[in-house]
Amino acid sequence: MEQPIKGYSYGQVGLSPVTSADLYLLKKTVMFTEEDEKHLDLAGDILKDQTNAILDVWYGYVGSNEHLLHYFSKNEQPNTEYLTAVRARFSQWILDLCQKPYDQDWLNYQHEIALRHHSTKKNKTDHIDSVPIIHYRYLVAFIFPITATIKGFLSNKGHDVATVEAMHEAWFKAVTLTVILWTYPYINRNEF
Amino acid sequence: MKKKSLLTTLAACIIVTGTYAQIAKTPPGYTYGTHQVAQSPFSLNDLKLLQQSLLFGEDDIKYLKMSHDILKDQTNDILNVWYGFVASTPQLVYFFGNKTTGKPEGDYLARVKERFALWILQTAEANYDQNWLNYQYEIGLRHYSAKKNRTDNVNSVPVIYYRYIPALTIPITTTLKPFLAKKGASADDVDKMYNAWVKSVLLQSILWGQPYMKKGDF
Repeated sequence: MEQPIKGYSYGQVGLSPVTSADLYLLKKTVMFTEEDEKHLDLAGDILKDQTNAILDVWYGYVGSNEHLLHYFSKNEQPNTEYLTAVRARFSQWILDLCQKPYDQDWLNYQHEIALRHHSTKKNKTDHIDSVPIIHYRYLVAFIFPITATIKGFLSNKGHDVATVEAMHEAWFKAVTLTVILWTYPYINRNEF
Repeated sequence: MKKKSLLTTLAACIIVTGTYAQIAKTPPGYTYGTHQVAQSPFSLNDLKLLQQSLLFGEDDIKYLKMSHDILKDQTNDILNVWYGFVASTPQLVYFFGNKTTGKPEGDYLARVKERFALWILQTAEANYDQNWLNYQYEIGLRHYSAKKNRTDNVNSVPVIYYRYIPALTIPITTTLKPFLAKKGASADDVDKMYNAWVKSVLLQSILWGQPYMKKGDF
């Protein structure tokens, strides 16, 4: 039996302030369709045994940017324990993004992730002493490297170019949708 | 002497006509690079780090500039597609609606459209200097309650909800791609221009979000 992931509490978190009606309209705005759902599901199958290699790339990117590594640090000293704990959940996030239904549990968990980036809950899950918040601007900026670097992994299992493109587009929409939800705690009341 | 003065008059006419043409082309409320635009609270140094985080480099500048020539005579068609998307998305039309009646404000839509056309060109020019940075802040304020409706003196809803700003990155960039491909650029160049556009639009939507953020959270 697989070990539970420390701090991963999908299905056991508070209610998101974003309603499923809001999510529906937001999905329409990012042009997210049933076709995207299908392609994401396929992407999940393709990516599930590659998550370690993907995380190596993403951590390589964070590690090579001091201003990003800063968010895992205290006095500019990166906290390895923190980086490791986040990595296990990040790996699960790839699969959840692709294969979990975007229902109330999913919506609630996006809000939980949001709070964990924001000063409301940052560092609490792993009982870490690090900087108090990940600034908003880098959450949204992250959409690009996370999307650009996934394409190679999507094409690693012999799918045709059109299918890889469709999966990549669906991924881009899903990541954008997700990151938007993560910004909720950062935004002034009634302006989200 | 007579010839010279005729030439001088002609030259003056051309200069004046040129200036008028430029003024006529500058839509009302488009204040890029003018003293009417305040200094952005974000610094050029921070902008560099943000661009680095988006993997935005010199090549992207090159490909954005390449897109300028391709897009410059297509802005009307592009705007028709974007406005078509907005029109088919009631949750977006809402932000152009009259505060009292809820009906879309035609003049407001038309005036924004003119500035939007220049925004396409300004994005493709890719000049990331202080004027550019300041204008992103100005655009942010105009989406936000601080300045929404004021530029065009309209009675519309008081704020564009933040969530729709980064969300629009996708329809904007997805629908732009066919226009990038219309002038015979190679598939590889089209892809590179498209990627540079995605990065630039994301970058701008991040900056436009600044007024919405709780203090210290940006």
